[in-house]
Amino acid sequence: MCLEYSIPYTFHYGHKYITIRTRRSERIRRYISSQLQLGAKLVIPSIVQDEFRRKLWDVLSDVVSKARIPALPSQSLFIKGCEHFEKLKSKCLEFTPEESLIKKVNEFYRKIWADPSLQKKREVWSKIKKKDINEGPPTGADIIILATALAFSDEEVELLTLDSDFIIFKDEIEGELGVYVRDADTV
Amino acid sequence: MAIANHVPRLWLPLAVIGSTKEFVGKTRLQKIIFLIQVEARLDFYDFKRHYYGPFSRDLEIDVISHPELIEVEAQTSLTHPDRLYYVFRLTDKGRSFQKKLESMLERQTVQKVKDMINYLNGLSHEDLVNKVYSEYAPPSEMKLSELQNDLKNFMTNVRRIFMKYHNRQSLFILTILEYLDSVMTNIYSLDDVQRTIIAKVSAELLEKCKEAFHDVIPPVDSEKLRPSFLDIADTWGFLLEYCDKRGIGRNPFKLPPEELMTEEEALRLQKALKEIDLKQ
Repeated sequence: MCLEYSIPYTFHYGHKYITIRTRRSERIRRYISSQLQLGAKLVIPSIVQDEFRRKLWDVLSDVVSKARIPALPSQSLFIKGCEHFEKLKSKCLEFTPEESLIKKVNEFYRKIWADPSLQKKREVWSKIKKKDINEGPPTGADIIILATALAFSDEEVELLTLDSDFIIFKDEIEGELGVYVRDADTV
Repeated sequence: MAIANHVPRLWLPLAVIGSTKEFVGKTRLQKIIFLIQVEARLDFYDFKRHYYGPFSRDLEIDVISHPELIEVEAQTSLTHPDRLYYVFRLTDKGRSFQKKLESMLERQTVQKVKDMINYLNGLSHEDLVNKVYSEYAPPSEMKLSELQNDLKNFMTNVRRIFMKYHNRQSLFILTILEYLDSVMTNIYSLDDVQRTIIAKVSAELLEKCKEAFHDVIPPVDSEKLRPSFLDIADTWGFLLEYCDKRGIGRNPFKLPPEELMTEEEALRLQKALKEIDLKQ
């Protein structure tokens, strides 16, 4: 989601403009801006910042090869992406959740993986993530992201995401943890 | 490297002169500082080709224009009475100023420079001069042409791997090679010293990229690659700053993307970005 927000860039060639963007970047930008106007508080888990750079490089590697353009501009595009991300961060609260919340989320996913009635959802997860079911439940950054949202669940809280780890289990997350998962594809 | 370049350049001659009770020889001082700069990846003084090899006018001015820090004494040569030689000593103020500047530098850089000073102080004048003349002789056109061909051949290999796996590790190597290519294009128009330094550092960088090349092919072990990538980034950082300061090559960190790609390439990038799905 942060990647989609950070990628737009407009090239100036004389009087001509060429804007590069992902398929959702404008919608996500508009949605975040409208939520801010409504007084929403934005929170970015600290771990997302570490992931952001690595993933931005992955995206740039992918598009630079597909577009068959020189590699040299990728440095400059990376810097632009980071600048956009820094702007987004300046509007957000940075947060690292407590260990107890991380344990709670781990326990939540452990139960999901043990629940026979959720086998279908696990199969969908496996297909989308291109992983074996036994490679689940999610770990690492995903747990911390959900634990961050959980830390704010005393108020109305929404997790805006494109990650299937959350989207597939959105009903369970909302029911058990009180966190509403919004698929960023639908904003 | 970035921190080092914010430290006043005077630290380097102070460190060299202060390494002995008295430091003898103007030419020796020039040679030692030239070697330290290139090999420790510092770029404080600009050197030009002179009668006795690389020479920096700014270094000479710095050394003679701070009598409160450096005492300079001209003495008559015993073997050539018509010639003078120069002895340099740090004053107490010079020693404390050197320490103050040193505290602003990365410990690793200071240690590297001190190790080099110790090594170079142990060389005779003749050995020192030979080292500069043999290792930093201006590269011949044939040698430069070989380096360019080697670079282009390797770049073709890396591009092939990048197009196959499109991973960030091969993109990093390819970016460096494209940068080297842009620098090498201008190399014939540069002065001797610049050409020598750029050719030497470029050749080193190319070798480092070659050594890391096999590890950028998936499955990539990022932890294994990290030390060699940090070393490559450090050498590249020096070359970028060296060239940027002198207006050589295209700095991908400073130029906007449109100056590094054509309109047609930007349109292709636009299309590729719209087609990818970042949903996980």
